[in-house]
Amino acid sequence: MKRVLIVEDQSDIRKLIRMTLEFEDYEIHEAPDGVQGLTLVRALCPDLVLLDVMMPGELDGLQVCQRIKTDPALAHVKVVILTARGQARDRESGAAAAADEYLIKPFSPLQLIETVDRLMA
Amino acid sequence: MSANLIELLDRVATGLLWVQADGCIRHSNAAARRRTSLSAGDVLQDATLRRAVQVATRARQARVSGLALGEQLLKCRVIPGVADEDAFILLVGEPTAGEAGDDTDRLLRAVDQTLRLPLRSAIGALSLWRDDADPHTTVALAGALETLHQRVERLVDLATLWTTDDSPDDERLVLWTLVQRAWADVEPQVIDREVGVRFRTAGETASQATLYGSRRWLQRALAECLAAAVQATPPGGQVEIEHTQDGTRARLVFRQGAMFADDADAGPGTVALALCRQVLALHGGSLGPEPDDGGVQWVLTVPTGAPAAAAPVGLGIAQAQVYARDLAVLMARARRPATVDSHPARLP
Repeated sequence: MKRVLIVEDQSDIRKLIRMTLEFEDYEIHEAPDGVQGLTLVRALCPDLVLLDVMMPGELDGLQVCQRIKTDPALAHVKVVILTARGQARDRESGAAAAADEYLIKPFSPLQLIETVDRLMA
Repeated sequence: MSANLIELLDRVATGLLWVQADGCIRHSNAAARRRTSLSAGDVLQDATLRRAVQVATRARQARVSGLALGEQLLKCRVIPGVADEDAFILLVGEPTAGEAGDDTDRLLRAVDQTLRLPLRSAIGALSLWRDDADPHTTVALAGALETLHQRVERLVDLATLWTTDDSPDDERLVLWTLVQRAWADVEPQVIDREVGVRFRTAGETASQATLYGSRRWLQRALAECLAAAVQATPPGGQVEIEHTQDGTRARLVFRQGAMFADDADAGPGTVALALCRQVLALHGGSLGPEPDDGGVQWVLTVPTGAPAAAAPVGLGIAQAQVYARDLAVLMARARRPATVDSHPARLP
């Protein structure tokens, strides 16, 4: 079973993403901030990480993405940024951090499932 | 009354009154009782505030109003309540009126001492200059007017921040880059006093700390702090700043205990300090002196990663609507495999 990690500080949004992904067959894990998210990425080696950008703490989503993408041991991990920050400069920051996809909140559950399915195909 | 609702109301730190349209108070939280002496069952006597309550209940419109308490006027925001016939009165401002009074009094004295009186002196000097144009007087006058101009700008900026209820921008900012830019802003002063800087940061994570907020205002607050630190450092000395990460907050420690020292006497530092504190408060941060080995150090804190939320942000209406729109398709997807499992014979 493919493994997905949700890194998101808002529990309601985390729950919504989980509910959405539970329509498919994924093993789902959650983390409430960047530091715990990165720890779980290293421990679980998920196939895909859904990352919020603005999270309280030492690491925001873009920093977590950069660290995943620059770690050879995590080269296979796909990263989808899922954020309310939708301006062109924000998308550019996501691309600079080497994210595989950039989705804007409010997100469409259908689009999320399609994106996750496509990246893990 | 729901215990959950009461708990929620009691969390409003500046004070909250839950009132009926006729002015009768249904609930007064601890802060409101302390600030107004009004309790549940009392009736609002302030005619202006009662009118604002009626507008909030009947027209379902928020109003800014005031509650007269003797000679003091508490600023309030009246918003429609949970039912058609009630409203919430949110007390605005500092938690204790005494502290607010002290701060305002000191700020007004600073305006008087550092703006009004120097301006009067400059006008006096200008009238003398008209009679006897002396180059030394001209240079001194230009310098004095430049200083006054900077103080007026600070005051205008402070007033701008005081009157805004909006959250600051949420630009993604790297703290270290912001400090470097702020240091460049105070460079003329640094060169003039021939001071150096020693900036220490603990670890790679702290050095990459990101903030979300207004670049303009945060850089301005940092520049004011650095300027105060440079001013508090003897010529030829070194400004020492230490940057650490403390949980979800970045912590900048300025070792110059004499920063903003003239605040106590309502000196020029008063407005600068008030400006820094207002900028930081809007970003969920703080600035203040702390004891340090028998001396004092100034500590600036600001949330990293994301601004500190005043209250948990729930699921937005927009997100709920998008989810509801897609739900039927998701449910259909979920049902499809179940049909196949339970009724294989009906498959075409």
